[in-house]
Amino acid sequence: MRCDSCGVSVDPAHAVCPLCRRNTAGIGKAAGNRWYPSYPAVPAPRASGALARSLIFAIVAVISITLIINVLGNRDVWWSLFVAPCVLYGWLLIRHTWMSKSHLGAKIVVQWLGLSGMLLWINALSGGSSWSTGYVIPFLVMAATLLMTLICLAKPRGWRDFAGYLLLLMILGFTPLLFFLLGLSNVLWPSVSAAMYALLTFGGMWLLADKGFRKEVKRRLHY
Amino acid sequence: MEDWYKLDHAGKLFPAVAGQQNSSTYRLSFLLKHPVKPPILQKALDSVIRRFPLLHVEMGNGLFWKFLRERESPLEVEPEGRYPCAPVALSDSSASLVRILYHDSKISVEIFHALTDGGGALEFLKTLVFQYLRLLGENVDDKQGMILPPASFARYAEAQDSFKAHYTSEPPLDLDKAPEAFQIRGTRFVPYGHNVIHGMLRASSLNACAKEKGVTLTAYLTAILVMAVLHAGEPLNTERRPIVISMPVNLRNIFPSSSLRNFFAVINIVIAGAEEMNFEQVLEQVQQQMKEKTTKSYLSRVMSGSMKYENTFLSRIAPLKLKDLAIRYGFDHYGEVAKTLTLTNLGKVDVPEGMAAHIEAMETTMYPTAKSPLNCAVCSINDQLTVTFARNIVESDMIMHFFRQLSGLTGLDVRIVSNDWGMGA
Repeated sequence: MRCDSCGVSVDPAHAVCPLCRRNTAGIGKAAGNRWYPSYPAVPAPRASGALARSLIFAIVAVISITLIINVLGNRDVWWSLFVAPCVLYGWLLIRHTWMSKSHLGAKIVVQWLGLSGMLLWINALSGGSSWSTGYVIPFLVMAATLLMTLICLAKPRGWRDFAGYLLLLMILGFTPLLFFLLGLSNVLWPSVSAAMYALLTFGGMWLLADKGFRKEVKRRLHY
Repeated sequence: MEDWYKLDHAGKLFPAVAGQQNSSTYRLSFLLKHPVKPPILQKALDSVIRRFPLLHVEMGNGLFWKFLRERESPLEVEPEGRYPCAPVALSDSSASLVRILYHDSKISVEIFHALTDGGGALEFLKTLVFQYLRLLGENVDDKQGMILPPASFARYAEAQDSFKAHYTSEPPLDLDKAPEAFQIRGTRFVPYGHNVIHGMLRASSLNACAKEKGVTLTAYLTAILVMAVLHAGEPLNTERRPIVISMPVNLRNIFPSSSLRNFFAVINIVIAGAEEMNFEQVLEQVQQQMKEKTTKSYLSRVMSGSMKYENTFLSRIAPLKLKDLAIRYGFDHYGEVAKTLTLTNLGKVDVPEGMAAHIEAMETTMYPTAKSPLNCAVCSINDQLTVTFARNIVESDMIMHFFRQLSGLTGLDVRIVSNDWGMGA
């Protein structure tokens, strides 16, 4: 078929010229397109992210309302500042751990980060002893590392899928020690335990696990 | 044998910048003379993929860089159902970065650019179709040695990062000085997708037209493209920005390499003040710049310009996420704004005689991006040249101007075919 307007031949698959969208002269019934399939009708895009946006709005609303009630009411105790980290952690729990399709390994790491952040915030507000950095965060990282190790060992594709996250948790296992060195915690033994646990896990995996772990370390840490 | 690979120098860019509106996934296809038989194609793929382990990979995240490792699950041929160059599932670490598609009599491979460039992809497609035809019982042989021999994968040579092998400490080009180019704007397709328009004509006749003007075929097409951008975009180019055609250059033709990974450099053909020029003047400028910018010395400077960032101690030890942010910033603010569109010419594709008899045409499709919503790719086989425009915007004036001018200047018959994405057809 010929498009006189564009001066080109048009494949018989097209009822109109793909360049100018005018009818081609003498077009009959459009033949099948040998180059491309006819695409199925795509449904209108969903309002994706609407739930996520509603969630963020709800969080901002809760935090600001509690803050206003606190400011206008009894200002002796800043209780609203305790609400904020809990609400933010709740958001992380729903958004990242429940709603997202993230990798399970990423969910465990993010859970540790979120929980640690929330507890650190509450601890900082409440003052007194550094219970979060001294005890809770070191034990949480050990628990997360243990969980990841078990998943690595139990799952058929454990090394391929989870070893990267395990390595990350091992590195994060030194965070409590860093807290101690920076003076953010005053109890040494849980921090040392967390670091030691990370080292032992790494050493144990290196020596006892199959070649998969060593290869994975090489892949993940190449620079 | 190791079962993982580091990303090559160019390959490090694509995972950082890829997204829905920049799939970084290109396509190469052969249109055969008979409908494709999927079970035979699958058999051919099963045997050929062992020769190309670099393509049968998934992508993992390291602390400092991403890496590729061989996939456990087999690669399967699929009927074509989505728009061309649709994104691969990067969020799924076990997803394939390669698609083998068939539709009617067409076999296509779509490859995420981090794995290889058009040169590597072409070797794969040629080998796949050669094997497919053999399994069909067709009388095809490769006496001329145009297909990669079926011997085992030459890991050292073919998986080599040739950028590192040929990198010299030539003074790099200063990319910061590149002016902002005129950019094509338009209305995105809803739902998002890529509209593809192919224009096919006789390669030898077009080559003769270019020769008559004393220029290469690529220069001739580039000049027509500049004129098309000028005509379609002139009213919008109020700031009189230059028209910049970005052009990937296959470095294997200049530096000895049998690598099947990325090995290309990008040169920019900058035409400032095109509104005051006629076609001949534009053609002269394009030809001159192409000559200057495809010398070994210039391309070495292009290579060292991009390698200098990768080699610094800071960039080596920076965590992956930080590097991704920096790469994305550089791509958006230095790479994408400095070009109007990309034109890539895969050149004349040679296949064994017996195989050529089964091929009607071929196409290569270059994915559009957010800031470069229309790109052009050229290739030829069996004296049939295909110019392909892929776009993610509704507006097609520039493509119309291009083909009208191509047809008007050469007097050749141009046959148009499209996937009609977004056209309601």
